[in-house]
Parts: sequence; structure tokens; C-alpha cells
Amino acid sequence: MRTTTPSDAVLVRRSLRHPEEFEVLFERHAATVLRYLQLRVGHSLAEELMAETFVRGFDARRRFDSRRASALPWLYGIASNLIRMHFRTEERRLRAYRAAAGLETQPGDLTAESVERLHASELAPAIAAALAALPAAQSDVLLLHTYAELTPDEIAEALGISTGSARKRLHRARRFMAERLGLNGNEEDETVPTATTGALTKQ
Amino acid sequence: MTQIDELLRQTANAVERDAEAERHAIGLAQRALSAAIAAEAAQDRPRANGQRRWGTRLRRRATGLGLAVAGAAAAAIALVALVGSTGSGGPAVADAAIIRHVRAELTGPPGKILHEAATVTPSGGSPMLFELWAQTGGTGVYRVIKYGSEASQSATRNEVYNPSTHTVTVSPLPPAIHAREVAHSGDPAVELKQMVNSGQATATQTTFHGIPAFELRIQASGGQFANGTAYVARSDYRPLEIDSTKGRIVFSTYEYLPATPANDALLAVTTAHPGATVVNQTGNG
Repeated sequence: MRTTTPSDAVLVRRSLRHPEEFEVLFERHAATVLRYLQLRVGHSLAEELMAETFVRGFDARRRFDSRRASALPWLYGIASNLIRMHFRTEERRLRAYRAAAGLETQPGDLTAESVERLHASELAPAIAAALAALPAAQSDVLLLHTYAELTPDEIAEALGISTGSARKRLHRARRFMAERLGLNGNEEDETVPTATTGALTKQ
Repeated sequence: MTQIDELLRQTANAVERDAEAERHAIGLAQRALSAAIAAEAAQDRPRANGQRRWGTRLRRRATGLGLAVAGAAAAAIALVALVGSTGSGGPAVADAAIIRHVRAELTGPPGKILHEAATVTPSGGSPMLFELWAQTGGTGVYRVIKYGSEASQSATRNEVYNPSTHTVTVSPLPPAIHAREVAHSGDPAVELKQMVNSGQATATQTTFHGIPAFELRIQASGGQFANGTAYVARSDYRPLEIDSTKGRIVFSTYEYLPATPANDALLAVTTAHPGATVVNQTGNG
């Protein structure tokens, strides 16, 4: 009797002979991927990129690494590539958001203490402005980590880069954001290699 | 987690979800994906009369960013290819996967012998016992017991068994007639296949006489097929019962046997009743 739920890798493999199996994968991850896209590019473009993400995934499923149990990082990677193609759209959206919020204060006015007191939504325009200025390669890593909650290993898998590169980009992105927001908090992460700790940090 | 991480997560959490927009986006994406799946399936099918396959064109379109619209336009075609639905909404994704398994089970692997036994009660009629042994792969080779009669067919001959005289009457079967009869073994499960192919089907988990099962509710789009409810086993998708506008079929056996000499003997009346008297008729008999 069939009682276990097939892993993503099994579904992808089965879909090579029975393409309909890919729809089960869609059902499993559609809402999660859509949420990520909506946070990155807004409802309208997310709707379009959502369809494109899964169709591209379906077309490219033969290249899926079946050693990966979850297909989610892979799908996030496809989505991130599509977002990058629409980077200007995302950038415009973030800048428009800042303008609509009437943000005139300098990000540097914010202190760690004030940030703790403020609700995140009040900081959103400043964060949007900082994200708009963040290099695309770094924003991908940072937002896959924070919005999609991927680990550096999973980010590396999603973007086709090394884990070390993912960690470095994450570190740089955090530092960039902290500087733009005027935060003095500790943005070092124990997983990020630095000049003094890199050699001893488990990669 | 760093302060930046926490800020970004809080910002994301503060963005309210729009359930309607999500449903719309997921619906569009699902149809686009179904179209791509159907396009791939269409590419795998042989060309008919050298005509251009619509799947090729659709697939090309599906790689562009106008895909959501293209997918929506092709949705009806895609769902027909996928699960035979012609309705506006189509089955849920999980239903489509279940139905595909049902269709696969009803089709069977080539080179096997389908053996099924059932009690068939036509609408307004009396129950009768039905048993079938049929070669898979559409060869038209089978032996069937129904309405109290037993007969078999191969590519070249018909055989009819008379139990009262323990006699088998063998008559030649012209190739043209055999070709016409290939798809008409009388398999009652074919009705389920037609129902699934012709209409919208939804699947729900249930238990059927103690067997974990899926209940398939099928609403056919045209009048030529039956509507109704069918139950299939969750373990292997074999049919258990079909209740339709045409009647009721309760399956006691639905299995695929290996093509061993002993099982091959079940396909013909003469080999199934080796001690029977064989009477050969001429070509026009």
C-alpha cells in the first residue's frame, strides 16, 4: 500500500516519463515560490514570473540534481534568474515604494536602538531604498536567505555558485544594508569567513 | 541571524497576503504548466497526416514571458490532453495525478495478460458474472465469459464453448473483422476509462468495503458517455466498483498476469478446456 509521500527528487524523476507528476511538485511549492516572487517584484509581475518559473523548471527538469531531496532551492534559483532579468522592474518598484512613503530622512539617522523600537513597516521605505541600491547578485543572496529562509548551502545550490561565494555575498549584502541604514549592530555571521576567522570556519 | 536579517523578515511578514491574487496567480501558473505538459505529450505523439503539431508551437510560446496569457488560452486544450476534461474549471492538480494513475492501471503494461472478474448489473437488468483474460497492448486476443457464454478470439479465429456438450466451435476470423473487433473485448473497465477521458473527474480519499480507496466522481461533458462514481484502490489504482448511468460493476479481480505458457493458455477456449471436443467450421460458417 502506498503510504509514503514521494520526495521532490522522486517526483522530478517520475515526471521524465510521466510529465503530469510535475504538477504534484507544483502543488507542493507553488504558494511558497509565489510568496517569494510577490515580495520581490509585486503581485503583477509575480503572477507572470510564477508561471514562467514552473514552466522553465518543467522544461529543465532533466538537469535537476536528483541528489537534492527538495526542489525548492532549484525553483528559487529559476525564479531569481527571472527576477534578475527584470531587475530594473524590481528596482523601480523599490524606488517607487520609497517615494510613495515620502521617505526623506537619511538612512543614517537610524540607530540600532531606534530600530529596535520601530515597527518593521515604518522602516520598510528605508529598507526598500537600500535594497534598490544593493547589487543584484547580493540582493539575490540576501533575500533568498531572509525571504525564502534558505541556508548558504541552499543558496549556493539555487544560484549555481559555491557555498563560500554565497556566504561572502551574504556578508557583503548585510554590511551594505547596515551601512545604508546606519545600523551599527553586529552584522557578522558565524558562518561568514573573515580575514581572521575564515581559515577556522567550517565551510 | 543578524539585525538586517531580522529587519528584512519583519518587513516581509508585514506585507499582507492577498488570497485572491494568490489564487489567481497559482491558477494561471497551473494552466500554463498544464499547457507545457500537454505540449510535451503532444510532441511525443506521432504526427497525423503530416500536420503541424500544435504542441510545438505552444511549447515555443510557453518559453516567452507572455506565457501566462498563452497558457490561459491553451488551458482547455491542455486539460483535454491531460485528463480528458472539457469543463471550464478542470480537475485539481492532485486529482489529475490520481486520474493519470488510474488510466495507467487501466491501460496495463504490454506483454501481460489482464485478468478481471466482476459482477455486472446493467441499468434495469439482472446481475451477470463477467470474467476476462486479455492480452495487453491492444492485440485483440482474449477470452471472455459473459451472459453465461464463453468465447475467445485471436488474430485468426473465434472459439465458442458449449458447456452442456463440452464442445468448442472454432471458426476463422477474417483479418478485417479482427481489426474491427480489437478494441471490443467487452472489458467493463473500459467504461471507467471512457468516463475518465470524457469528463471532469474529482478524486477524494475514502474506504471502500475496508479497502483504502479513491472515490472518483465523474461528470462527462457529452451524452455519449456515462456519468457516475467509481472507486479505485489507493494501493495500485485498480478499479473496485463503477456506479454509472449505465449500470453497476463490482470487481472481484483486476490483475495483470505474466505471459507464461500456463497463463497464455487462458486466452483461448481450446487451451482453457483441453479435453473439450473441437468442431472446426469453414470460412463462411
